[in-house]
Amino acid sequence: MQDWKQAFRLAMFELKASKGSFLALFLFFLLMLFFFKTVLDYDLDKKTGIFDIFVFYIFSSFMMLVVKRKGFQIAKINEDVIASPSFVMLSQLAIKKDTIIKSRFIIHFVYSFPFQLVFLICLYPLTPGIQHALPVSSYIGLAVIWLSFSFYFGYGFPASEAGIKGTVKATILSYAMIMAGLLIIIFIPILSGYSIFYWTIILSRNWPLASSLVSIILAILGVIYWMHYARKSIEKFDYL
Amino acid sequence: MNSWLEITQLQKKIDDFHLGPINLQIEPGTITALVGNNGSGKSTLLKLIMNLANPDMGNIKVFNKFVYGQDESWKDKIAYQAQTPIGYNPYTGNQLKSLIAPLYPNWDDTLFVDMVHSFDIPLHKRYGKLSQGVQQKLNLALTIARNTPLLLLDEPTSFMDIPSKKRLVDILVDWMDRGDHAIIFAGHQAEDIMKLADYLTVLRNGTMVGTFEKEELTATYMHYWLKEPLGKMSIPGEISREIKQLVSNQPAATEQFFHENNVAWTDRKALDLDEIITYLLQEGKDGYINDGNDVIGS
Repeated sequence: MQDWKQAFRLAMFELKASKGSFLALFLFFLLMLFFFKTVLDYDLDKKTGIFDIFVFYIFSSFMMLVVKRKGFQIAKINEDVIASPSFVMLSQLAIKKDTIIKSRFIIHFVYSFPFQLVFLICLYPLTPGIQHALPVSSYIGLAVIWLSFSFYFGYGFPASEAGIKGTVKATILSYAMIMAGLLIIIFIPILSGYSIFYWTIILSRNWPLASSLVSIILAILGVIYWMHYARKSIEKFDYL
Repeated sequence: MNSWLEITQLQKKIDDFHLGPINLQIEPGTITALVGNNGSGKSTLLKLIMNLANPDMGNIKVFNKFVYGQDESWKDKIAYQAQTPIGYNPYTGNQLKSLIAPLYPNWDDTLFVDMVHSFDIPLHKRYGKLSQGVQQKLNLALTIARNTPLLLLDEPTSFMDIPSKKRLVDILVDWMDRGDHAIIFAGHQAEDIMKLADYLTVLRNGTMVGTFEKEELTATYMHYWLKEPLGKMSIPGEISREIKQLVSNQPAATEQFFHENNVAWTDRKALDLDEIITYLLQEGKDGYINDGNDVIGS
């Protein structure tokens, strides 16, 4: 408990210095809300992969990285390692490594969850297209699926703040993986007939409880995995 | 007496650079200068002590705890000032103080305020907006005021003006007098080393030449001016020779040889520390072999 308390204090310290980023995030979500409402009201079930890319962009928490102030974004620490400068700074102080990891996860939570939650809460009443497709109870299931995704996928970002390989080979591999991911997102609607987002609407409409439960379990396992990953990264990388 | 820091057979390879093996023990009340040419591994050694990198071989214990162990309590007892701090740029001095001070139970706020005034550090400005010299002063104030038993400083005066350097030396000397402390600092400045250090640990291109007591070292190296050229005779302790001059690191043996062989010398002078360091950093000129077990303060 003492660890979490200290992690919270460390997180608040960075968050207080990041107020501008939250305004940028707010404006971004406002824009996305308008975009989603327009697109979903127009044509809910025949969305292309392009729309899914926006869904992933929001719920993978990728945009939180973009809006962060330069001093808080991950950066090249040396020839081989990309890491969060804040992480390296805290590693040099009298703070347990586990506490530092927790503080990074708290920061990510504040950057992502409240915005995603408010976005989903606002989307339903503003979007008749979704209201026709799902009753409120199923929409809650849909929200749980995507919020959970933001945990089991999104927490890879604070975990990577402890270090990722910054070599040319690793960078090329990362770009290749991003490209492969985008291609998969684009091709799924072509191959299956529905976008990934619409598949999650189907899941939440037909099995709201089961899909929610599975998603929550995945979210819990995801966070545990990413914490473990961050601990391993600290042991692996040299912050020289 | 127990060592506060104990380094045993430490080795680290980074690309084609190889550090070590390093053997070093630091005991309370001592100031040790890490001396070496550029890229000799001084900063790497300090980062290895702070567990910011993994050694390939060997052990590091701080206050009897392995730095890479589960027990991280050793972190409370050591303060580290990096040569180029990472992550400080978005914060003001005031914010950094409010982050760091609560982490250290013995934080000395009087010392911090004193250093801020002495060095005229603007605490309301963002770290990234300060000049390199002021950044270094702020960083030092934030590090020394932690008041931990062990203090690691990486090139603490590299961007400082002369009056500030003198002030820092006074602060460190005073700080050493106020309780059980030990300092390890990496530095190039012979003046700082001369004023502060009790011991010199010399690194040459990653290899540890040895650890030397400063007073002993300055008394060891002697420059002789001779009446006649020496010819081809081999002189004990000789590390450098010109026509009628000779530098020795075994003056007693050298003078004994002069006496036995009727070599007359007109003058002799102890070498300055920076000249000695220059010899130590020239391969094959030091005459020292690392015995692999350097104990400081014993």
